[in-house]
Amino acid sequence: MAGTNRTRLIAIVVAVAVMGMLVVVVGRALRPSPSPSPVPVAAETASQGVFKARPWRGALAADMAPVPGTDGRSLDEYYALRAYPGAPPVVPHPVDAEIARTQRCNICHEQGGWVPSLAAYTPLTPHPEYGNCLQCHVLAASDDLFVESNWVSIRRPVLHRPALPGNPPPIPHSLQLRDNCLACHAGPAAVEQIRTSHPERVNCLQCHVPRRIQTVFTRP
Amino acid sequence: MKTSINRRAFLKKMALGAAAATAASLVPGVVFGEWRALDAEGSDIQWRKTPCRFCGVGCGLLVGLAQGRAVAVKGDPDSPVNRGLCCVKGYHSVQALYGEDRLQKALVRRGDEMVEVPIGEALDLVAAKMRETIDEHGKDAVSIYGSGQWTIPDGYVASKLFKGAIGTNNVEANARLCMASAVTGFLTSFGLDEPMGCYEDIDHADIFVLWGNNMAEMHPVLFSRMLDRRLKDSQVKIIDLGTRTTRTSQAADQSFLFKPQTDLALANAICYELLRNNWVDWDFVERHVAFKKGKTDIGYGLEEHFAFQDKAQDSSREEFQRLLADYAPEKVEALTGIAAADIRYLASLYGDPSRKVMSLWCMGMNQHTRGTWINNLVYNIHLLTGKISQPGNSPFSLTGQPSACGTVREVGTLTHKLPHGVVMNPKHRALAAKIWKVPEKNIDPKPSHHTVSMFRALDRGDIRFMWIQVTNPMVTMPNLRRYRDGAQKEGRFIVVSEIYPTPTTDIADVVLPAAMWFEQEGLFGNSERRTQHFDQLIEPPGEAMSDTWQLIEVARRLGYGELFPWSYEDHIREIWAEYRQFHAGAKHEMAPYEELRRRPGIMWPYVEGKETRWRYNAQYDPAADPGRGYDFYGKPDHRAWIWLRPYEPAAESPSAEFPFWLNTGRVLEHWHTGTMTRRVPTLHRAVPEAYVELHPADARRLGIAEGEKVRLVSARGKLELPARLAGRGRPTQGQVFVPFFDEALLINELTLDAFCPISKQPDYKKSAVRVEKIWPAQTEPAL
Repeated sequence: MAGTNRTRLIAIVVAVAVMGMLVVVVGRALRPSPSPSPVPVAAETASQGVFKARPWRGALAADMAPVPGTDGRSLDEYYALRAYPGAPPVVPHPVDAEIARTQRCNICHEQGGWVPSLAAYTPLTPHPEYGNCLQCHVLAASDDLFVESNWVSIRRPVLHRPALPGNPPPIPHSLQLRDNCLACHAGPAAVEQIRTSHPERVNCLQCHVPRRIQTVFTRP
Repeated sequence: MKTSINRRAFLKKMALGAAAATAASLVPGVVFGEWRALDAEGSDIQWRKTPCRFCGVGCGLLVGLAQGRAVAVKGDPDSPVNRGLCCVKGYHSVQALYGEDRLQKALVRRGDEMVEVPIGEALDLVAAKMRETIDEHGKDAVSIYGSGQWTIPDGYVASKLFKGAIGTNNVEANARLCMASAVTGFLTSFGLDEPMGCYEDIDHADIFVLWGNNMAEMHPVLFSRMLDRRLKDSQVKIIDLGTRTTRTSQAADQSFLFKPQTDLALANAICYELLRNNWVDWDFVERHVAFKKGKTDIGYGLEEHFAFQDKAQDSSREEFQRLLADYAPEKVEALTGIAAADIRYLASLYGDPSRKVMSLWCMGMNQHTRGTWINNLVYNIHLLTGKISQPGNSPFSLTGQPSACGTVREVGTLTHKLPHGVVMNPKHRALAAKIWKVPEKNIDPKPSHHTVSMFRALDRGDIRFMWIQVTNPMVTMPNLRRYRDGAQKEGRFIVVSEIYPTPTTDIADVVLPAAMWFEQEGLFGNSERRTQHFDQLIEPPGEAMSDTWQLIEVARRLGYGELFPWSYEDHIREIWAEYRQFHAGAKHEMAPYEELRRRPGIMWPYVEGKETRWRYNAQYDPAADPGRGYDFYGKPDHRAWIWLRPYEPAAESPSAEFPFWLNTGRVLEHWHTGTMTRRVPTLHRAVPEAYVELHPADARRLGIAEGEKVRLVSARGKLELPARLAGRGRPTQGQVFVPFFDEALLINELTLDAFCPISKQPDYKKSAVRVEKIWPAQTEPAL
């Protein structure tokens, strides 16, 4: 009696194991992995703003250092407004209903300057030519979630990582819509850790090059 | 004084590194939390192309992949649609894959409970139930209801299975609720669907007239392209015609507010002025245009078995002029609410031969009980002035879903349609039967149910089985309560393919977990006739399976396996190759698979390696007869048709009992019913719930303050929601606006299920409601 039970148990265990293997093996075959030969894409546009000495209304602000005691934003604050490195930030301050309706954000964000009511310097937009600002930068009305998210992204870029000691560090981010380096890397609103010491040298890409891939060159 | 202390405290806290808490208390809504990070950085990302998952603009995206997950998004600089720019939905789109409640297993109803089962078992049940329903109630008792978010292969396989194999025309899609009037507008005026022009028109036009189209929120990337055009040329003007003030109105050079439904009179008044001032291109009209009239006083589709068939009759320029005599600007001033001088100004913009004019529209004109008519009337303006089929001279119908054009319109997943032509046409049936390899008699020559009629049939019991894919009708159907009650009646069987729980999965008997977007290979088609391919980039979660493959699995279980012989590896390529045969020829040639796979979208007709940017113009369109110059080859007489269409009132107008117009629509941050966008933290936080926009004067009169909860009541239902007086939009007095994305605040329980008798598209923009202040119980005035 006990022997029959044991045989039956073994049979069941074996059957379950076989089914499990089938799920893994056949299941994989049923749903193959993503296409093997990725289509190459142009992930970057040619940078416009760096060489082109376009009239930069924020030039004055760019030369300014913050008044002592009025520290700029921290990197934590900078990334906390973004869903991933490179995402358009949400608007972190209250916006007057009239400004929101007319989207005249550039009144402040093209020129920069100190805003008493927020006790902060205004960050400059690297792309003042776009006028439908709230298309990408939305106002937050709540801090709830509809449901929890399993969103995971990549680390924020490691800063100041020259190839050799003293070398100019590479650019760790995409230049799309952010090809005016001075907007974010100079002036009193710039995050201190990424503020350049030499905003007068406008040809940034001469020394700082984008770092796009991890691998090194190998002959094809 | 107090505020300056706060500021000082703020600075001090910054110095202490407690910025997060401070800013959060300073601005409710900003949580300074960070995303969870993989052990990877920017240079580990692999960028792959895909069209955006949301609206019909069809932006090219680059999705950043790392360790088998989508982790970032950029605009595709190579895409001619958006040239690297996206909107907030596009930038955050990939987060919609990762909501915690993603459906990963099939669910089957056992009593009141939904029980998880292996997907194979659920597919067995779906097939068995279909077979049983067909055996007991006939083939027309089963139906499929899909959407403009179906990929092209999804829609193609659905059409082939239902129309070709089973032999029922019970195939519909939510695009019926979204752009059916655009289709009938194109077909009646030109004989062929979809725009003659393309987005490039934006870079050439001098005047943009937006007909009831809040582009700044609904098609933001194209709107930015238009602003860019204006920035480069100070002569460029944007004119907003609408029934409420929006972000688009704010950015426009001029904004004219007309009374709901009177766009019909306004368009006719513009034509009246064009004729009066002789701003008509008579040479163009005489060579390329014919005058037609149809039936009038055509009803609103509210009767249970409503049927309507329009009939084109020859008309003439003289008769057209006689009709327009009733629409002199002075005569329609009071009706439309637009001053006669302003109407004359609008006509002068269209009439000036030195200015190129682009008209753009979307739901304002399509969700309209005279939707086909208003589409015709705007074409009339462009045809009279000869401003059509040239760079910058372009009447342009925008769409709201990523593949409303590609799938619903081109594959033809509507009851009367086939991938080429209509079921009523024996030649079209023969072609479909040949390509599908089914007997010709399989294809029923009679259309069955359009969407509203299909849900009425489900309620009555004529339809017993409905399979719903990629759409959420239990939020979007007008007069919702009737159709929800109907779907839950005894003896109805509802299958829903979804990615998240929704009010539609709530009423399902079987829920099939679906792969989303680039978790499968697929193709979309956008508003400018551009077909866009995407590879499978990541694995779907759990047992989730693409809608295409779900349909194929069920087809095989029903014994139609030989019609769907493809392997998983090559089924998309094989389906594309088979489907392409329907569109062979210079009028609709589609690009080959390999080209589509390589490029960020290709426009059809794609003839000898070249996209056709302007149809019907022999200079650009190889299908047009060069001898004619312009050749509207969609019509047998090679002419475009100017239709004589009068003004007729809305199905329901404000009354003493229900004194407000109710207008519904979208907001920038949310897309459709929010199934995806509400699971994106940034988007949900921006607009966490629906609201009702009121004009401040109406609110004052009713004693309603900003944010106060008010009650809306229509003849069909009531709803309590917060009032917004200083929001992004402002309705005119006597009108309210409510976005429809919120499944907790179902505005469609109030809307009316009246529709355009020609297109059968419901009017979500015009029903009548009452606004009630909610008095706290203890202070309710004693009567």
